[in-house]
Amino acid sequence: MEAVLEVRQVQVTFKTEKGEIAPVENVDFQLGKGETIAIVGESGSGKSVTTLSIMGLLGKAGRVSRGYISLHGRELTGLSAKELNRIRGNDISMIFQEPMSALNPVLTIGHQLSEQIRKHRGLGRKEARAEGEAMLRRVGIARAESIMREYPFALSGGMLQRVMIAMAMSCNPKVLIADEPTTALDVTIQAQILRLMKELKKEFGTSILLITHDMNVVAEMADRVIVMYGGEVVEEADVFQLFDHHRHPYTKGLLECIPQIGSGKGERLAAIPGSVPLPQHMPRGCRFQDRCAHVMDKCREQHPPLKDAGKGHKVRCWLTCEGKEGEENGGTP
Amino acid sequence: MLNYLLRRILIAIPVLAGITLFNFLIINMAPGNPVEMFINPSMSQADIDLRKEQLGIDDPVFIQYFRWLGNMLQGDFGYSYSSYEPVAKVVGARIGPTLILMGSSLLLAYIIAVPIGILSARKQYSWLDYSATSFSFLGVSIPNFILGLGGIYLFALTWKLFPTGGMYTLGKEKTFGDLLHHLIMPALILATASAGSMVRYVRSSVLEVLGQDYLRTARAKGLSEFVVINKHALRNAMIPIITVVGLDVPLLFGGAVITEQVFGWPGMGQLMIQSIGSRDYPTLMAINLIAAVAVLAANLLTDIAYAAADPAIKYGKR
Amino acid sequence: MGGHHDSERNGGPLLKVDGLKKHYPVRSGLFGRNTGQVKAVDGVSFRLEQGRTLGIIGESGSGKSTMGRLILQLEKPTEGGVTFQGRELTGMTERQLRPMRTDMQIVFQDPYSSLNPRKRVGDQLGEPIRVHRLLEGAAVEKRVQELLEIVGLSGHYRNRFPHEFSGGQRQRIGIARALALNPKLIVCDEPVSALDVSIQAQILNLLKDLQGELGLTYLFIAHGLGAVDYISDEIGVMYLGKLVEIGDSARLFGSPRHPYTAALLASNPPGSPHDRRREESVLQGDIPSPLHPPAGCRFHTRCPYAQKRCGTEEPVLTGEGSHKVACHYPLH
Repeated sequence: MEAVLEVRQVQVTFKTEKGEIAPVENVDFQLGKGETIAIVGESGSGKSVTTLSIMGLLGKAGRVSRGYISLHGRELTGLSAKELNRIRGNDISMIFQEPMSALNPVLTIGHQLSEQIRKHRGLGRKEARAEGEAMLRRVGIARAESIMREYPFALSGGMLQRVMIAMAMSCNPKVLIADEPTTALDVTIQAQILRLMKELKKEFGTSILLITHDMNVVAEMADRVIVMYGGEVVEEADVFQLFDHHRHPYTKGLLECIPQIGSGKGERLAAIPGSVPLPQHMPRGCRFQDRCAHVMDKCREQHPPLKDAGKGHKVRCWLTCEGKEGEENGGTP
Repeated sequence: MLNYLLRRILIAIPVLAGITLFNFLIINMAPGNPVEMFINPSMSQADIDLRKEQLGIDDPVFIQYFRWLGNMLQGDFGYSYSSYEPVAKVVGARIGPTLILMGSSLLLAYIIAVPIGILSARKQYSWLDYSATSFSFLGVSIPNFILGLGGIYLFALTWKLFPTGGMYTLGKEKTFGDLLHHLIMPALILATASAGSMVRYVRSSVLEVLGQDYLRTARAKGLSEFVVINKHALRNAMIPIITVVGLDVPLLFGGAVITEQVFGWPGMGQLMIQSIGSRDYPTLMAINLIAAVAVLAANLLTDIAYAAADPAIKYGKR
Repeated sequence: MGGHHDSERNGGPLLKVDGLKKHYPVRSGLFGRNTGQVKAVDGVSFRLEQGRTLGIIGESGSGKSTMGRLILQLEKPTEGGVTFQGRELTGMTERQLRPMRTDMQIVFQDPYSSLNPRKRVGDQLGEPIRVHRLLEGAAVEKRVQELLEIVGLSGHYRNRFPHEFSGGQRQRIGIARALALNPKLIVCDEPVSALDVSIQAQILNLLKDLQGELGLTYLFIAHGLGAVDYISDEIGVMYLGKLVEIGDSARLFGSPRHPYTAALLASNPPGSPHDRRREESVLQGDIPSPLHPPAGCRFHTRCPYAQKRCGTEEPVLTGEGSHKVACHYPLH
């Protein structure tokens, strides 16, 4: 498959008062054309920081300190602010978890929608508004014309997320990054939004990078899944392979801790004990060791590499993967 | 919105009535009375009583109040006890100078404070931020009369850059340039306190907005930092600042009383101090009424501006 | 589970809710005239036995959180009754309610905003105990330590401030606070929605363990269907202020009778990529405004099975035994 977005050996560091921390290390994947990759993990796993590094939105304190990110072979890391602004919202766009706070409360929907279209597609005020309206209709908003004049507070969460999607898709991006797009929504609205994303993906051929902590959403949406823990990729596989034959204990934990309707009522849920360590307290060896039921001596001493178990299934675990060394030592091509 | 305005104005009427009554009582409770201010040893008690009767101050306080209220509603503010001129004329001559002083100092305060506050927030914890913070505390905490006297000593007496006081140079033609020359020092000094607190408000308001999700969205859309700050951030940051403008007006009134006294500015503040000295009840009441109306009007204007800036209020959803 | 059935004197249910209503007036115009009503909760009735859990599901705007606050008398109902331990709460004065309040507690969605950031956790847990004079002096300290341990935290944590805890730990503190007065009923208002999935499982397990040990009764309000199914004995489905279906959780989710319940279940994403849903099962549109709820059956505007009668005649909640449904044409 043609690679649209490549993230190679990326490490992200942030300056803090107590020195530098690296909330993301060893993140490595590529997103193919029309493909949906889900990045899964708890808060603190580094999944959101990874997307912000792709968007160049790490802020003043953060930077990609190792590795590179490229779009269609063009390296994004190291681009000037001006060059990045031509890519953001145009080639790569993003939607967020809380649509209510992601839209500016004092500007109309129409303004926020058309300013992006004008900026990237060079259209005039009128044409941009017409395009924006058409885009709102495309995402299933019937009263598009009056919604253009509304302010965000007047709309429901589900409507606002549709507006965000209309905005994100308005310049026909190659990559759509969706950071927990349905976590704040009701299940019924979640189902509508997920379906809309699938339709648009088919229609525009967009590749989607979906960030979520909900394995059920992954099951519904993803072609491939990347599981992150403590700032690094711990498992990557085709979605069917991952659900049926996962090899990392953390992936197993994420899958089993969700209560499924009608199954195992009397039993206790298989919760993963404890929580993700902070970047400055990351243990030597395997980062999951303190929460793992199968921890061995080796796990406490040596940091496991990401190994290829065949057919694109990669695992970072001493217990379950005996395959050949994967991309870990692969260097930059 | 129109309903809301009407309701606010209707509410203001009893509030004003309450304020005038309260003021009237306090003024009358103060020891001394206007007649005592100009008795001389040769006046007999009968003369004094006659004088009191002529002024109407031998009646019970409430009767005096309602008499004043009744006349005031017909546009008659009475005569000054000290200059014997109509109060409307005495006070009317003073409104202009006070408005000039307050207006220009309010304007100055914002011209100084808004850019400094924004810069201070955008460069948080830089030397610029720290010095802005220090100066704003100085501005707030040094009393106006100290700054005024210090300013007169340095700029008027030592360096002779500005006049020591007054509004125009005596005996010269009243020109705009001359007015400006007299205005700069009192206006700047009156502005310091407002500017000091305003810098803090602007800074914290901008800081809060800079952390909002919608700015991340604006950046993710590929908008330039200039548009992100000036279009998306500032409009939101200004909403809370607008409220503070309204709160500033009563503070400025208080400040103006002192500053006018120090600089001999012929405004209402100066007149007020003189009238208190001579127990000139009608003049005092008129000044108080104007101050109260001004404060209420400022609050109302603030609410209108607030509503205009925040669409959620404009459309009555909050 | 939680099979304590030491029912109250009269042997009735711990909580009985009858025709509960909450209408908020909408004011507008020059003098704030009453121009309409938001019927947030509009005639809800159910019973909850001691030691059991009733789950309440529904979209935001269905009135489920308002109902929780009405039951705890944190808001005064417009109409209807709440009977707790055989005593009618509506109409009681605040003074009469105070002794009852120790028996009914609440756990909120956002543990951070419900804790005072400037007070040590131990003091916050001890405060209600002191206010209600359950214990005094050193005994309070001991109880605070015990409470922290019950919810799986170390007793030393009592000297820390809320910001020093993670989201999951804060929710444990929120639960400890609810437990401080030995309540019988706990209303859990979206207690796990703000937490990571792995932490959600920890909290759900904790709630279930506590129910077994202490014989607690839960009213569990949430929009995560899996979590509600896991923890509840019975489930009630709310739509626009009305209870549209209520019944045993296995039966209700296994074979839902109300089209809305079925739609909610169909919206829930699958547990495996093999079960990806078909396109047509997605419920259309947003929940209508409770200011102008549809006439007849409130769900008829979004119901795939709606007929003429549904737009005019309001269905009542009926059914044999404990499974009740408010629908003219139930699914089976």
